[in-house]
Amino acid sequence: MRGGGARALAFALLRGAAVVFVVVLVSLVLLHLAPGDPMARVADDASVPDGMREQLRAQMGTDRPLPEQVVRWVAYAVRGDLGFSVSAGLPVRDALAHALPYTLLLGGIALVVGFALGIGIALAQVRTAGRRLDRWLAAGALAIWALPEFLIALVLIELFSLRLGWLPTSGVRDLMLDAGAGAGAQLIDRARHVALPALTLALVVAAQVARHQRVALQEAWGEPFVRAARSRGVREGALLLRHAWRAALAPTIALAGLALPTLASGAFVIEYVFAWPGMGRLAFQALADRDPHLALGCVVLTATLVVFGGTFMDIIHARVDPRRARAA
Amino acid sequence: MSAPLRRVQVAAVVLGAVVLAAIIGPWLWHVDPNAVGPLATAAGLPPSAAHPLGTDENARDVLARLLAGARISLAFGLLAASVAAVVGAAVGILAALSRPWVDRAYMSVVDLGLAIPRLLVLIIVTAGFGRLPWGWLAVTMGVTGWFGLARLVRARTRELASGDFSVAAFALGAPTWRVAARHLLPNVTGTITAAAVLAFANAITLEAALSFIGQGVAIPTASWGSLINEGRAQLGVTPWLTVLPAIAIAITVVAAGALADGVERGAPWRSTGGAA
Repeated sequence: MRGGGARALAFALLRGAAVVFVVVLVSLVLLHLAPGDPMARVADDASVPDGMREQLRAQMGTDRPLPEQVVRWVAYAVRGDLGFSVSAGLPVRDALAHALPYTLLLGGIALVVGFALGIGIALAQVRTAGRRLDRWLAAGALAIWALPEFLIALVLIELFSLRLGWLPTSGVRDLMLDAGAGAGAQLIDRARHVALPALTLALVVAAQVARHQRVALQEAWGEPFVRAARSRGVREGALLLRHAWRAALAPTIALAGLALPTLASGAFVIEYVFAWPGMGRLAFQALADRDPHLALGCVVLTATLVVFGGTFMDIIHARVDPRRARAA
Repeated sequence: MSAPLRRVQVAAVVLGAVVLAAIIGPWLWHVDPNAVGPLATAAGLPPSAAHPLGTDENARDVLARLLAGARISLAFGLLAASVAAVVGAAVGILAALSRPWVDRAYMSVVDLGLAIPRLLVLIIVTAGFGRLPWGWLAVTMGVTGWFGLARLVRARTRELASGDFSVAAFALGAPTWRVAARHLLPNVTGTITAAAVLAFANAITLEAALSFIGQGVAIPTASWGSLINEGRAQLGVTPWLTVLPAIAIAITVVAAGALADGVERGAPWRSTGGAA
């Protein structure tokens, strides 16, 4: 069993690596097929000396045949070299290293809060099935599901920042805040800035989770083991939390892995709205500045995180769900 | 009449009304959506008789832009959903009827596609090719949006292929393509339609997000997303510029979602099953 688990893990990791490689391959093929010079920004810039132009081109290998480009890119990437970002004026790796923590913070908060909120909504819905609260919650979840993330962000900004003035509209910190202010004040300032983008993303996650969790809960509610527990005299609340919910939790954990791509896309758009200096804003900045290498770096790193995050969730799922653990 | 059926009918009527408005609206309300009016006197006007929904900061008629935007947004969704439906249905049916190893190969591609955020593909395409014309953007979105549909169609086809009527057709010597075309395809159209309607809604939402970021349709072309982007700066002053296209998106997506849900649930094979 242990040995089987290790093998399954090795296989899952290998699979993840293969997916990431395909992402790199497809990206490089697309960039290669695209008309025009990927170095257009440097080529157009009169202040860049000719020697440097050639040097950059050779360094990035954009003048080489495609297979060589792929091999070179991967060979450099495994050593941590993702090329040079002309627009940012620093190695792509450094630009990514600066942006990554912000995206992880935003995504992490959103994932945790979103799941807690979504599960809470689903539990409340099942407790009040058919009554007014259930219908209101269902309508709310539907509205959030139907609206694009950026619209929810705009509504929250309008409400909490512009009307009520409670929270800042964008950025990560108050530039006017005295650098000498205490650590506590700094921390509160950061928390106030992360609140709205994280809430937006959490709501998007929660709507998806609530939909799934409610279906899973209702399915579990009709199972014989719930009826058996009820006939033993277990109270409704305990029935829901201890019996039905336990059975309904596993598919939700599986959903966490599946929700990661949506979460990443959502985070990208929300970072743009809130000027949150994460991977998404970096990627869109790269597009605006015609800096394909930086865009490529953002895409590959995000894909890596999403793919291995999914693998990780899958493993947790197998642990939590005894049926799957036995089957594996 | 059952409540779910009524909901599907309402959804279909609402969606039909939106589509109808997009088709005949610009023809009835004959105002150029891109015509800039006198900025000093006609910019940011609230709704009036001359401009039923007001004007934007460039003194353009909001109703005309909303209708023109509906054409682009709906056509965009339709094109993306069609591409996704055709590719996804073909792959799903083929995979279900192929040898196990071919099936596995198809499904690995599907898993791969589902594991990667679509936005990333669009970012790479934009990074290489620059801003795409909206038609190509829609096709790209279709090409990156068929994976879930293929998985659903495959599951449904496998279920049907082991059903009595398929077994009977195979036993009578019908070739696989004939069983697929005559017996299986008509029975999976419900699944395909439901998934395609959802793909339509997704494409509209994603286009709105891209236009909002400035990587969607090029200005001054109006789409619901680009209208929201244009109106955003004056959200506090002229809220209707943002609110109206937002409502249009929400209505369309909710109606499409309800319709997809109903098509799936109300499909003939469900009524005999009883479950779900």
